Order: sequence, then C-alpha cells, then structure tokens
Amino acid sequence: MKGNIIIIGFFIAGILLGLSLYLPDFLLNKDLSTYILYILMFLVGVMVGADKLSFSIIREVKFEILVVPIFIIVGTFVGVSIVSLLLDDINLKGALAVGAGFGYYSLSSIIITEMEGEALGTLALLANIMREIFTLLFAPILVMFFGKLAPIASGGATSMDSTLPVVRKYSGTEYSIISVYSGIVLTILVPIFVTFILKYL
Amino acid sequence: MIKVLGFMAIGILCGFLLRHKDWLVNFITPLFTCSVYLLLFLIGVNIGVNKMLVDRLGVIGVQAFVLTLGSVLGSSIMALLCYRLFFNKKNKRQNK
Repeated sequence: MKGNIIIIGFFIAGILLGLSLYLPDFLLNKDLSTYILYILMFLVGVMVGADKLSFSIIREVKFEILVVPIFIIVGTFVGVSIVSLLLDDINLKGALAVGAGFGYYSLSSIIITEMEGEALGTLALLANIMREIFTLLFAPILVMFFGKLAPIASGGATSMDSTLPVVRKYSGTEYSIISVYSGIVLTILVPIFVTFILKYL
Repeated sequence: MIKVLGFMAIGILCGFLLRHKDWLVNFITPLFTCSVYLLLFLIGVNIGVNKMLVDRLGVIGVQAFVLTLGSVLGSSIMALLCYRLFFNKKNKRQNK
C-alpha cells in the first residue's frame, strides 16, 4: 500500500513537472523510457527466475493448480469485454489490453504507452492500480461471495507478491502456493498478452 | 516489442542461474523499484505536457474504475467456478 502511494506520487510529480514550463527536453525523449523499459523487463525476468518458490512449485503442480490462471485469464477478458460495452470511447482491443495487465500496472502501462500512446497507457495504469488496491481492501468480501480462489483471481499477477499477504490471511496459508504460482504465470503472460493484443487484434 | 519479451527471457535465465546468490535479490529489488518510479515519473511528464490528456484525467479515472470492476468480477466468478469444479471435490474426497 505504501509502495502504491509512492508510485502514484512519482506519477503525479511527473504530471506536474510536465504541466510546468521548466522542463528539460531530454525527459520527453521516447528512447529514454524505451531503454528503461528494457531494463525493467530484464529485472522482472531475474526476479521470476531467482524466485526460490517458482521452480519448486513446478515440481509439485497438480492439474487443479495448473488450471487456476486459465480461469483467471478467461474471467478477466470476458469481464472487461462486457463492461467495455458501457464505455463509449474504449474499444474491445483497448479494454482487453488494459485487462491483460492483470494488476501489474507498472509493466502494462509502460508497454501500452509505448505501443498505443499515453491515453490508453494512463487508463491501464489507473485500472491496474485499482485492481491491486481493490484486492487488498476487499479480499475478505471476495472470499465470502466467490470462494477462496477469488482474491488470487482478483489479484492477478500481483498474487505472487503484493497481494499474497491478504490471500494467506483470508483464503488460508494452504493457498499460498497456488497464489504464487498463478501470480508468476500471469506476470510472465502480461507482456506477452499486451503485446499480442495490441499488435494483432 | 518482441525485444521486450526477449529481455524478460534473458532475465529469467540469468535469475535462474544466479538463484542461490542472496546478494542478487537484495540488489535487484531496489533497482526494480527505482526503475518503476523513474518510468512512471516519465509517463507522468508525457501526460503533463499533453493538455488534452490532463483535461481528460477524470474521465479516464471513471473508465479505469469500470474496467477494474469488470476484471475483478469476471475473474472472481471464474475463480468460483474453478473452485467448485476442482477444489471442493478434492476437499470432500479428503474428508472421507
């Protein structure tokens, strides 16, 4: 939660600097953010690869654990597709790309900004931050109405780290492994889905 | 953008090979956090110079909220289905 506030702080500070007239030109250089994105992707990879749990999990995956992320992916895509009908200026492709962030706001918003521009990138940033905060705040309610897998589903890619504590608390510690596994699978899939949706849809 | 995926794949390989080095995790996590801060700051700057986008931030916020509801409810309903299909059954078996 504290991390979220700091991140939003940096985002708002950026907007304010952009609004002001005292802006060094190099900050608007698109190449700069592209290179940082490459570094970021590399670091995400290292974190997934070095996660001690991630490979021990693969050894003990059972069928029912394996299918959890598939249900989450289908549910997310169907959900955003339906609500996108309510939104006039968001098309299906945009809604799916935002949904494919699975709560991983930093990664998804940056890739979407690079590929589709700031408008959709900002939407992805806000929607995915909200998904994480919503999961942190409403995990007990989600468990009550949708069962013990619901906070893992709602947390999406964040269920491997930032929303893992609420999963453990409200679904039970026996759901930790499913949570980490599902989060890792979705984290790896975020850049893949976002890229392919924007490129080929 | 395939490059992006390539960087992640190389990262996973590096992380896997160095997974027993504790300094790696201690070093990577703050580096990751800082690059996220920096990138979101840069995204903010690019929004700030775009007056049209700044004016629309409120609308974008509402749209984001609607999409969030869609993704949370959609995935939660599917999670319930998954739970009923595969998890409840297993528990019952164990209880017997």
